[in-house]
Amino acid sequence: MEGVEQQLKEKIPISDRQRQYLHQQHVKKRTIRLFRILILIAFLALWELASRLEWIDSFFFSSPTRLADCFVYMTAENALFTHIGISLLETMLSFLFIMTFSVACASLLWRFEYVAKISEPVLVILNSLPKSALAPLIIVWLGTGMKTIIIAGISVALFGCIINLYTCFQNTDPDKQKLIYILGGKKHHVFTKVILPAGVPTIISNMKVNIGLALVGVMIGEFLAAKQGLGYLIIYASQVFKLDWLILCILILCLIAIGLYEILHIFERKICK
Amino acid sequence: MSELLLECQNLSFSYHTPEGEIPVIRNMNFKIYKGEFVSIVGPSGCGKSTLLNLLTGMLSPEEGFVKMSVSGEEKPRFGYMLQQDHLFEWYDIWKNICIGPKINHCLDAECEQYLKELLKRYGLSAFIHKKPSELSGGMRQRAAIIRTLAMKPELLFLDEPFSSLDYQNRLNAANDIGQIIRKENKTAVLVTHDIGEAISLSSRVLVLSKRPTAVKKEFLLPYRDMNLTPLEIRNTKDFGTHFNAIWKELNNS
Repeated sequence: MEGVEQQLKEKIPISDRQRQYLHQQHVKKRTIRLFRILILIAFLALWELASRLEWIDSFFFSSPTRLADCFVYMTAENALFTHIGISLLETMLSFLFIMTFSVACASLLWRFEYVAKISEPVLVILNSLPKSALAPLIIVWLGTGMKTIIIAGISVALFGCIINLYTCFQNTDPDKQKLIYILGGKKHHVFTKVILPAGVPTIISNMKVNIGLALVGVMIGEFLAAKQGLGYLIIYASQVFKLDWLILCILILCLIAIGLYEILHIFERKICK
Repeated sequence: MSELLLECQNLSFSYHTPEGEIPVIRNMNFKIYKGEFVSIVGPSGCGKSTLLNLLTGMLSPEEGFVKMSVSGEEKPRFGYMLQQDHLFEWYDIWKNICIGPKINHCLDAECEQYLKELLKRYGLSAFIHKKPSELSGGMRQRAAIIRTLAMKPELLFLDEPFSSLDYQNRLNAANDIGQIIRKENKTAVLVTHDIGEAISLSSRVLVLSKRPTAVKKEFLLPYRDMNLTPLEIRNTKDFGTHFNAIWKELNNS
């Protein structure tokens, strides 16, 4: 498609067959989008119908209209947007720390091969450890509050990300590295001119995974040690059997995950342009 | 006799692995003079690339020495082309060819002018801001040789630089690079397993023996002074004779 855009920019005439092909592609895209929307509408309609006709118990399964009412109520009475904002802030802080610390650690491990060899088993163990098991310990050490939740969020993704990035740095084409040395470069030139730029696609793919993992970690933290946030609302709602609240919070989490992923997708397109 | 640029005396080298020692080069001796184009051919896996690594100082010899008369300055005075062009996809062509001078802090107006002249001379001026992926195989090779020439090296090491190209592109790229090296009056050492390539580009061919390798025989070629392009050399009458002689020597190595 880039070639066609170039043709349009340079005002090179496009043949009828090419125009027809582009039209087909456009129709295909629009059809896929339309079907996605239709499936969503059908699902919501069926859900509402099943609830109203009592095919399902709306106390347990709720319904779209009940959720809409619940959203209005919670926005007014329970400061829903404050809870969303807090969860978002904690997720973003966890995510930023995960990425910064992972890139820094992976770079140091690449620079100091001995340190990498020594610390490899520790990283593997920390990565395979179920992080939810660590959360109660973190609460005992740090108490409840945002700090604990952010650390819970970080712990879920950090070690895996360090291992991924270090492996990527280590597997960068040795001939490209050799070229820098031949041209008179030092190790820091190899890092800035080869290792880091070559690692950008891996860093971005890790960002996409880690934004979701940070959200998971923050939810674990909020389940156990929070007085605010969507995780806290979910636990509270389950304890008092307000299942409308619970389902609404889960839907909001879905929307947040989609939103964050889309932001990263836009970032990726800008970087890889 | 012209000026001596590189001398390799009693050179020996082995790789050491947990499984044992692998002797690769034993007692290798040869000299390279200014203005020569020397090709080194040898059986597959005999240690040709290891030899280039020793000549460029990427590896240290266990015995013997490599003496390079062009070195001794802070910046390297030799260039190296690898088996692939290794242009960095994250940079455009201009940034790719400027990478050597930039690392060595010598990218001044004069250097930029020199690089722009090279780009113009070798038909890449219009592609200065293109990414390497937008260039053909031959153009990429030309960009790679300009990157190598950017540091104005007197001696060029070429490690099978056309091996990643298909046959047609390979012939064209070898033709282009051969002419560029001649025009720029550089001395070159080419490592290759392609006898035709070696004959069409070189003034001298060194045939290596099997591992542990040493120089087995030397062939002097008459084409360097004839002002023929590498493609034209392939069409000369005695090209086949030289080819057969080197082939025979290589098969008996």
